[in-house]
Amino acid sequence: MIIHCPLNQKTASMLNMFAAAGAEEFYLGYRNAGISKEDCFNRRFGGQINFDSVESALAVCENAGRIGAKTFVAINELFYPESWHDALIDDVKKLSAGGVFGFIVSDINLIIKLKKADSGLFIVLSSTAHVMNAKAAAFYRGLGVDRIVLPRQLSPGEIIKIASGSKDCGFELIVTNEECPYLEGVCSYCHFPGEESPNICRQATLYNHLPVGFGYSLDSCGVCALYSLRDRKDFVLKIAGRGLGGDLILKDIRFLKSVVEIIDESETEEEYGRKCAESHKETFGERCGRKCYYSVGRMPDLNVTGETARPQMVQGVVKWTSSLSYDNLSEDVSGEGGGN
Amino acid sequence: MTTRMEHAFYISDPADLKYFHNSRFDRIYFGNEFCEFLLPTEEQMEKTLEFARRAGAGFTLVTPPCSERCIEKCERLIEALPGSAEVVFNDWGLLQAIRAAGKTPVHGRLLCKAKKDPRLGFKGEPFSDYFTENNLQSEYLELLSALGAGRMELDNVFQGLRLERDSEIKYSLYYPHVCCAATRKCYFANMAEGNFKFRTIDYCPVSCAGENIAIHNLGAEVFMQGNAQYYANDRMTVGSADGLIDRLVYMPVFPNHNFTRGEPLFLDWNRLFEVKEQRVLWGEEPDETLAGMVARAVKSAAGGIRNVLDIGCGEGRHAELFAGLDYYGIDIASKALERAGENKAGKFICGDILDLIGYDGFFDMAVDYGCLHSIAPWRRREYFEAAGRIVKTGGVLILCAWTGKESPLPAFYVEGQIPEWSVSAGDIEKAAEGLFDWVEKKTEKRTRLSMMFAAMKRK
Repeated sequence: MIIHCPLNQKTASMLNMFAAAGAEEFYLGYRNAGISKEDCFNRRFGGQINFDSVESALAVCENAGRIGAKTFVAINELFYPESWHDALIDDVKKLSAGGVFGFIVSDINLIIKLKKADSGLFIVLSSTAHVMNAKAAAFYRGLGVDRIVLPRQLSPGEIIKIASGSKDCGFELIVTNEECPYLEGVCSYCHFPGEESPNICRQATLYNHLPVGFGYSLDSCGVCALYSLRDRKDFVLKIAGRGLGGDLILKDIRFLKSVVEIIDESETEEEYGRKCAESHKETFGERCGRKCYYSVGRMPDLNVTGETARPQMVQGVVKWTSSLSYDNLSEDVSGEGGGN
Repeated sequence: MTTRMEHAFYISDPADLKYFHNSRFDRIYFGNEFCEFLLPTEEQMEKTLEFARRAGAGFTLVTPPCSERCIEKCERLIEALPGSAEVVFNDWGLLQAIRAAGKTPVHGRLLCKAKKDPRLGFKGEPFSDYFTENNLQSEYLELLSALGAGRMELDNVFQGLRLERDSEIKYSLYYPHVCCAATRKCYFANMAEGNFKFRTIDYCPVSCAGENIAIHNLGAEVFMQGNAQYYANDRMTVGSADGLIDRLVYMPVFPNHNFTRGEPLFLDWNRLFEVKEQRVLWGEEPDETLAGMVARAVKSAAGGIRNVLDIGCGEGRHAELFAGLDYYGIDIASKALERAGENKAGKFICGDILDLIGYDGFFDMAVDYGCLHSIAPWRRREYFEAAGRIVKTGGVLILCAWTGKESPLPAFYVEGQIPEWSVSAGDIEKAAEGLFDWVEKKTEKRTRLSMMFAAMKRK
């Protein structure tokens, strides 16, 4: 399984460290003030998340190319004004000529136009396209999509069915960082940068009333599901969070590298889970918060002592009525938009 | 030449056919765009189809984003449709099945990628033309035509939408409800399951029960029903001036509920009253604090108290406190009332206090021990209006409810299914404004929550 890692302006200088830790592919975003002053070229924006121009993005991609890593550029807003298309296609041509391997896209208009412009372009379908079944995957494959980032709302069984239905297509799974319950393709809110509450869908809703660490969280993860998918060595493991700092990304890479090794050496799912938990604690200094992607149904360990555990809010700290204690959960943090 | 505007009527539950008017609507939209668990059964669809036939209306089945399991469900429904029916698809995976079955595919509004954020409706706020853009562009429309989908569904978003003129595609506009977001990680289902960490739902207790929770008011009041968030826009802000829209799709209520699926969708109080442990937990003897308040109210009532309504009386636990008075009890659980009728003296009404009619100004006193906190916070005003109707001017209302910090989240779920919300003095004051005045209130610590006891006088 390949580790696919984000880069931003702040972390670009850590590219070699990321690669040495185990990242084999990198993805990033850019903006082009020549097309629009607004920072809405992809689903992440604000701060130093996007590179300031095609040229600065290209320079980083060339650095990655020198160490043999593939690079991908995200142009994955749900739509772009039609008047932008020609300029965007010009950008893609420049980036592709400079060695960028693939482009992460969500908008069908752009997919069709990019393929018309260059049928050899490698197109990765963003998770915001919300592919929930094998027939939808086949539809996008028919448009020329080469790889699909699957939504975090799927179960491992569904992932296997989808992947089995499109054998000539690659698949990416987001496996660390960030999860809003409304993530992926059926959220139509704006995520205005710079606002106190950019994501009103979660921050101004009931999720605000949940105990700290629940609802939306930065430290979500899809690692547990990987054991069920261990036969799919071709899956790409994506680290979400293009706005995150380099130290955290480095820990994510190290953790995922250990997970890939643990999959191979584990004989049972239980052994895999235990070893991953140990690795998580060792890497991040705290136990996993069990905020899972690709998770279905009840939380697995609510009945640790046989009694029904229910969280109680005590001045913002979560206490469980069972023997579990999640006192050290990290703070909920703001993000900028869904999709990676 | 002007195009005739077609008027359609869209519901997710056959019970909402009561809002249909033959003379007003040409077509019925039926199904669910958001939640696969609320899709109609084949029997429900057949009944609604029959209704449409009798009304001389066309029929459109509406389908949601689909898991593998949902695709199979939808395919069965599509197979059962007559050849003239349309099917709205909100998942590209379903398009092939619609075409293979010979039905007419219609591009759903969830696939129309536009910003649907109510903040874009702030009056006087400038926003750039960017926000009227969307994915319904030339390449997309060509693709749709090639795939046999000649109609696209649109949300009536505040900021308007730029629509492609040079196309054969027809547009429908949904009003008044605009969907902002939907998810498989449904709030209601997760809360009912005790999952505060939001997991994908593969089984649904349908604990949403069709309730609308107000979640924020930025640009417009936004509600959550089931797994979707929405706002209402009662002005036609999309396409009305362009002449591009030839169908208006009216939703009498937000279509993300289905009470009549024939499954246990309602909060099942009857089931709870069959659980002996639950009855013991609630208590079988009258509450002493309540007894004291009732005694004081009876003693101090100027005009005397001759009758009383026990709201949410259950099995009549408190009936003996009202010996000598004309005692009435009302409860939604018929099982509880059967037991009350066997063991207690009084008249018992099976029903919802919010819907009680025929007792206007009838009661000298109403007593509520643990009913108010079972009513969702957004319906508390309705509760006090109902209480205000039945209690005489100068009459008494005694309330006992879980109390704590104000929150739209339930304080807990009885048996993991029935939500109970804590009620603060501020909540009561706001909901009862203009109807009742405080007479007495106190709080007592009970288990991990406290209980508020309050006596109020009808203005």
